[in-house]
Amino acid sequence: MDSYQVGTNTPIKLKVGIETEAITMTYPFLYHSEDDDTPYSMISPFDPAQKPGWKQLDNGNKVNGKFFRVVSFLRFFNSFPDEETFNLAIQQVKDTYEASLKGGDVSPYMMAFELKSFYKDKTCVIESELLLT
Amino acid sequence: MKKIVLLSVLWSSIVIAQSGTEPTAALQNIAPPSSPAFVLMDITPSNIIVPENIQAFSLQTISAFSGDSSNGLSNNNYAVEFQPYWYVKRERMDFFKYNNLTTQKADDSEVTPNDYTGYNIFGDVWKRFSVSMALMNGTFDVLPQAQSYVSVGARTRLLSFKTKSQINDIKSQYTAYTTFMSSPEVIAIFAKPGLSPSEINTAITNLETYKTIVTDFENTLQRKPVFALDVAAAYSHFMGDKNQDLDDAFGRFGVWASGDLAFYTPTIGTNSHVHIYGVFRYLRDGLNLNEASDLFIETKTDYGVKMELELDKLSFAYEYITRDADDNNEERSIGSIRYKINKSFTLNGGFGKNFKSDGEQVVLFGIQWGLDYEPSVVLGAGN
Repeated sequence: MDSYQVGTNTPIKLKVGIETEAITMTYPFLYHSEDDDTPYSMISPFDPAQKPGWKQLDNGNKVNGKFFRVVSFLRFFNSFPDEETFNLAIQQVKDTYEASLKGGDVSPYMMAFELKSFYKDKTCVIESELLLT
Repeated sequence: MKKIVLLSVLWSSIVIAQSGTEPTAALQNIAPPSSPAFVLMDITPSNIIVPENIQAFSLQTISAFSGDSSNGLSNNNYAVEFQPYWYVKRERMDFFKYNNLTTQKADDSEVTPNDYTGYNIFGDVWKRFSVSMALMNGTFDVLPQAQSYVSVGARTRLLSFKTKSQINDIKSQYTAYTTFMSSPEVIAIFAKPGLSPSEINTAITNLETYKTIVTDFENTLQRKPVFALDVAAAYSHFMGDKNQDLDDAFGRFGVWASGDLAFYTPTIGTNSHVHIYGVFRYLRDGLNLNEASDLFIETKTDYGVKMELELDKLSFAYEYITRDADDNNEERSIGSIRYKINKSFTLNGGFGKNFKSDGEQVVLFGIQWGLDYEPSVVLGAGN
C-alpha cells in the first residue's frame, strides 16, 4: 500500500478533481488502522465539480499513522447507445481523475486509484487508499 | 387495408430473406440509419432527421427496396457514422455543463445548483456533431441499372431551448440525488473498507430509494427541449458506369434544417411527446437523365412539416414535403411507424408517396441495424 509522509505538516488537505459528464460523489474516510471496519472521521460527501477546493482531514487534527481512504461513485445520467461509447466516457474519467493530498508548503501528492465501471448501471467506483506516516 | 396487407407481405419477405443468415446472438444496439449520407438519397423512413443518442462509432446498413435488392438484405448500402465528441478531451466537463446549464461564478469556485441560472442554447452543437460516409448501390429511380454512389455528410443540433420549469426540475433532481447519496444509509456502504467496487456498486444500485430517484432523474432529463433546430449537410458522388458510357459525376449535394417543437404529454406516457417539425432542404441534384440519357443537374428546394406522436415504445408520424424543382414540383407524403420491441431492437417502417414516384407506393419497410465495433448480428459458423 502507498504511504504519505505527513511529518510536521498540518493540516493535511484533500482535493479531488475530475472532468466528466457524470455526477461524482466523493467519500473520504480516516481509520485508525487499515484493519478497522468503521472510520473514526470523515469529510462530508461532496461533488468535486461543485466543491473543487482543498478540504481539511479530521478538521485539521494530526493524522499521522492513520489509514486514509477515498471512494468516488460516479453515475451517468446521459444515454449511451452502446458500451463502446460508455467506455469512451470512462476513459475521460481515467484521464482526468485526481485525488491529491498536501500539507504545509509541500507539493501535492497524487493518490493512486483503482477504477471499476459498470455499463449496465451507468456507474463507476474509484477507490484510493493511503497510509499516512 | 390494402396498405396493411402489402406491408405484411413485405415484412414477411424480409423475415424470410433474413432467415438464411441464422443469427445466433441477440441483436444489439440497433439504431435507425438516419445518417445524412443515407437521407440524401431519400432511402430512409423519414427525411426529417434528429440526431439523438448517436453511437460514438457505428456502421449502419439499410435494406431499401429502392436499392439493388436482388440479393435480399445483403444489398450494398452501408454508412459509417462517427461522433468526435467522445474521442477528444472534454475540458472542464461536469454534469451541469453537459446539460447546458451555465453559471456566472468563476471556474474553481464553489457552486450550488441555484447558481446555474443560464442555459447555453448552443451547448449541443459539438456534443451532437457527427460525420458520416456511405457506400450505396441502387437505382434510386434514376438509372435502369443499380449504380454505386459514395456519400459524405455531417449533422448536429444547432440550437436547443428548455423552459425554466425544465431547468428547475433538473436542479431539484440533482439536489434530491446528492442529498440521498449523502445520507447515513449510503455513507455506511462506502465506509466499509472490505467491500470491493463491485459489491459497493451492487449495494448502492439495489437500494429502493436510489432506484426511484435515479428513474425520476432520468425521466426529467429525457424530456425533449421545447424547441430544437437540427442541421445537416451531405454530398453524394456518382461513381459512373462504363457499361452505359457514364463517367463519374456530381451526384447530389444537400443542406437541410429541421425545427422540432416538442410538447411533453405525461398523461399519455412517461416519456411521451407530441412533435411538430418544420423542415427545409436545399438540394443540388445531379442524378437526372435527359432524353439523350445524359445526366444533368437540377436545383431543388424542399420544405414541409411532420407531426409525430412519440409514446414510450411506439411512435407514429406523418410528413409532407413539397419540392420546388427547376422544371416541376414534386411531393413526398410519408407515414412512418417506429416500434421499439426492447432496449436493443427497433422496427422502422415508412409508406406513402416518395418524390419521383408514380402514384402511391411503398418506399421502405424493414429492419435496420447498426453494426458497432462488434457485429449486431453474429452469423452461424456455416455462413
